[in-house]
Amino acid sequence: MSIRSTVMMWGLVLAAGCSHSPPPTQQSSGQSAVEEARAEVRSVVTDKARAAQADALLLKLLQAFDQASARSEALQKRVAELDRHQDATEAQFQAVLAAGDADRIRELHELAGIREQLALLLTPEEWRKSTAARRKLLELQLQPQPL
Amino acid sequence: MLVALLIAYFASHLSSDAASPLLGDPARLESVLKHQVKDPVRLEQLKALVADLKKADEERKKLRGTAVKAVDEVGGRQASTAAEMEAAYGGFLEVQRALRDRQLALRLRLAALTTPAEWAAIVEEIFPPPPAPAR
Repeated sequence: MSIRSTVMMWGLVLAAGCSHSPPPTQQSSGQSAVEEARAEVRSVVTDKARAAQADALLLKLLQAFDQASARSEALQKRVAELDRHQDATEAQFQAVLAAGDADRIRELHELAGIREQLALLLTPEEWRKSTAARRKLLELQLQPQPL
Repeated sequence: MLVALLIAYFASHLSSDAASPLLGDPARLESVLKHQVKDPVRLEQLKALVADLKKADEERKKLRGTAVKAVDEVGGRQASTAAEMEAAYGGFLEVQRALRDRQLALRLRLAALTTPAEWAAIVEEIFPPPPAPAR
């Protein structure tokens, strides 16, 4: 499951929880997840200045997801291409995978930093409200998944 | 929602990061091998290899569940720092890398146990060419 499709799935989860929304198309559900997150921040954080800061951080977070998704897809394509060759060596695989690992460490650093800034920006009550919705997705993610 | 997005990101990393897409679905690979490899002696060796792959896949699923819970726990706590988040998930990346090395070793054994013609047929069946564009 790619990051993009996971976020799309989250969009579907959100839409399913909202009885007034029409069923989303697959193309619209990823965008729906983004917009839901931003709307949630706007409704939870009533202070306008902090709401704007939180919104900017959330956009940064979502851009980082998008870049990570593109890098992940490119990596998978490179590994799949290598896979086609019977004589591909361990060194060739490791070189490609090591580049992916380095990207992942950078992404982790960036995302953890954005999360920390958001946590510092919100009050405990705002944090509680803006993270309450995670349980449903967590349950979905804990179900067995194919590669 | 904020933590939910992080969970989605980290969980998807653990789902999509196979050492080799050829090994991504051991049951499918087993079926393709049975279909393409006619030599019974090598087929038995390949089946044993697939059994090892299935074990590695089970470990991957368990690792994924543990990592997702850790992201939820550390990421959901407002007081958690970026360093704590990186430390919690970084440990899983190390374990995942070791698991990937095992899968890669199995992929190299798989290549060594098949003939070039069998390999070509296996790849063709697992990675079918994209459909030709419509005129």
